[in-house]
Amino acid sequence: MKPLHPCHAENKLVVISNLIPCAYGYTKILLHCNFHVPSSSSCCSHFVPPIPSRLLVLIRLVALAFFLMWRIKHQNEDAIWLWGMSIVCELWFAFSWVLDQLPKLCPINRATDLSVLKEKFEMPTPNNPTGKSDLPGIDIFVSTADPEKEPVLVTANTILSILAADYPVEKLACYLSDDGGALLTFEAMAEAASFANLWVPFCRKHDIEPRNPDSYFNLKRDPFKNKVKPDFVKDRRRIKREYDEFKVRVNGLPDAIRRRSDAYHAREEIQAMNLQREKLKGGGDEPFEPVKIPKATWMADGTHWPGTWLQPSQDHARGDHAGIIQVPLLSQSCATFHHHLSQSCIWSRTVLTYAFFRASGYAETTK
Amino acid sequence: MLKPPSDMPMYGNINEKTPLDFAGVDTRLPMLVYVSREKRPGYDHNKKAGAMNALVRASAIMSNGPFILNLDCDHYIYNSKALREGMCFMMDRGGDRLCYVQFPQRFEGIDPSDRYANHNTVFFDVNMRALDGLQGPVYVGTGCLFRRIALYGFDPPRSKDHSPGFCSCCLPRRRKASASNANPEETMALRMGDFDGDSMNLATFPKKFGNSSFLIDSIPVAEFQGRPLADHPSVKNGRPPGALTIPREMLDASIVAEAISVISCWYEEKTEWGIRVGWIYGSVTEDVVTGYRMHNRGWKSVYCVTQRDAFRGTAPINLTDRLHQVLRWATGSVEIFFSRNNALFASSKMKVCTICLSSIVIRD
Repeated sequence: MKPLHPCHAENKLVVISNLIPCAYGYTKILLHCNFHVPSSSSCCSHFVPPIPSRLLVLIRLVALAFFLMWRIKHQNEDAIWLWGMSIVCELWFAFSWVLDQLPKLCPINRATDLSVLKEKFEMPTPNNPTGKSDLPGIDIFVSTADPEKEPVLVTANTILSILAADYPVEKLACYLSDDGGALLTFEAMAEAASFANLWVPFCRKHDIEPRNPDSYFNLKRDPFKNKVKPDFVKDRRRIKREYDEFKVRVNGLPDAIRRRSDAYHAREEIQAMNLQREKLKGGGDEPFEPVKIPKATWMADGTHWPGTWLQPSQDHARGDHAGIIQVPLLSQSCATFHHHLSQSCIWSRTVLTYAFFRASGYAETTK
Repeated sequence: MLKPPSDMPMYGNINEKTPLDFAGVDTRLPMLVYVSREKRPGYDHNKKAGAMNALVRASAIMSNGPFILNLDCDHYIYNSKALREGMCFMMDRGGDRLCYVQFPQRFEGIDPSDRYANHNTVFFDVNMRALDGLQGPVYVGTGCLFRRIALYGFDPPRSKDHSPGFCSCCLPRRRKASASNANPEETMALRMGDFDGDSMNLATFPKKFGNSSFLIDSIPVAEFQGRPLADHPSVKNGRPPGALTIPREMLDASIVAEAISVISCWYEEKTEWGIRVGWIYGSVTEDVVTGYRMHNRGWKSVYCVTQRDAFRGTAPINLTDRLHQVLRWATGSVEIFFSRNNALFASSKMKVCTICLSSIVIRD
């Protein structure tokens, strides 16, 4: 990739800031007096000279002024209201055109110098002898609202691309805001977190770009270009298979959740019925009536999902549910990888180790 | 207890039974948090802006990163170095006056002829770049790296010795005229002096940010951590190098319980969230208004076009979706034009560019 401007040669901040009056250190402003729409191929070095476009603007401005003067001087006596209306419209458009042109007289391009950033923040210095990253933290917010309209596979891919971003790991935090409170979104995120244990080190090892698996595997260009590590072919094949399995799991999530909820619900109903039967045996004389239990949506660890249920009920509907924060304990040691991770195996590893908290009590929150 | 990722790289081992050989590769993962704010009937949840504000509060308590990147769920990181690129601007000399770095929105999956102009090339490559030459581009709702304290509604540092820049000189009369009718209530910034920790008036914070002591304590920390390095005499209000190498604190139950309480639906009552703090409520295009308010306080923003697209998303492909999107933008811009956010009534700190901004909005 060619840098936007050869500012990599000047590694010193002072040199750059002396050159540029705006005193930007790691970044450098390149002033262009023309608008330049970059194409994806190599470009950026050649710019159209600034004079023509400004000249054109000037000519148009003069023409516009003459035209408006002519308009105002030559009233149409027969239809004065029509003339007035068109004058107003023309003035308005002239005004907005001028407003639109004003900022374009001085568009700029900027180029960053990542090597200087690395040198300043991530190299051992007297103040920072270990060379740990001194960069500030970034919190990344991903917002989603409806797993129906925004497919969870897309969201999961976005999360994977964030987890694999090239930034000091301990400084990065990814927050997924699910305004729908859907278990599907949460479980897709958990799946993504689990797959990230493979995907992220793979990206780091082989310098993968882009780090969104779906786009990466759909790239049209040659995936082996510039790859030198001998095990790349093997690794890529392996990750591809794992990703395909991940996709199948995510696509199967809606069904899995429904089936699981049905099973738990049936079990709950049977338990309630047994309880009632025992009561009857114990001498109760109230008539036998079938128990009504609201059909809940169950998480894989056998507890109720605190968010929205598939069959909305009180406290578990869209627009009526508790606040939820869940932090998956991402596997730190990476010790428990198995070859074919079956559904149950994944859940025992990720979901059961979740720290789960929710607002304490509905009564308190509605006071 | 939840342990955040350790600050030393953890390398994979050959002996481990991983399907791939990760020897010498860092296998740590960043912290990942699922948040779903509380919702109850009878409350106005303010859609995406409300969700974003809940996230701002929860993240302040849990990780308190001094910078916030906001992405839609269908926008992914296409260039893994994009975060560093954004940080270059923020950590730069004078970068402490930047409220956000806006990255262009790029789309894939558009038919080659781009029949419905989904790329918005004119907007993203001409107009945004043009605005960048003035006070800065508008915030378009996704792919934007914010400074946390700018979202909190503070003034930029050294705002007192603000000198009118290049573009306010070209129309000095307008500037004076607009200064006289400036400063409606919402655009007035929360003062924090010249960013010395002690001059921040902590006593007034509960009224603005709500009653969470964790949240309030995190504000000066976020401000300090967002400063550029003081490694050169010309850097004003920098921080000492090496100040951020200490590891993060552990997350314990009390922290997460506090984070839960700040995403409850009553937390924002009688606070300034959505009015002066965070994403602004009550507009169809809350993004533009949010960015506009920051510019109005004197912050600058930067448009960062990277050689390799920073983020990419999927665009509406069919005509109906596209028309809906354009309609939403159009309603939003008309609304802005007739609201108090109209650029013509901007404060003196705001430069002329916002007028041009409004014209762009009108034309789109």
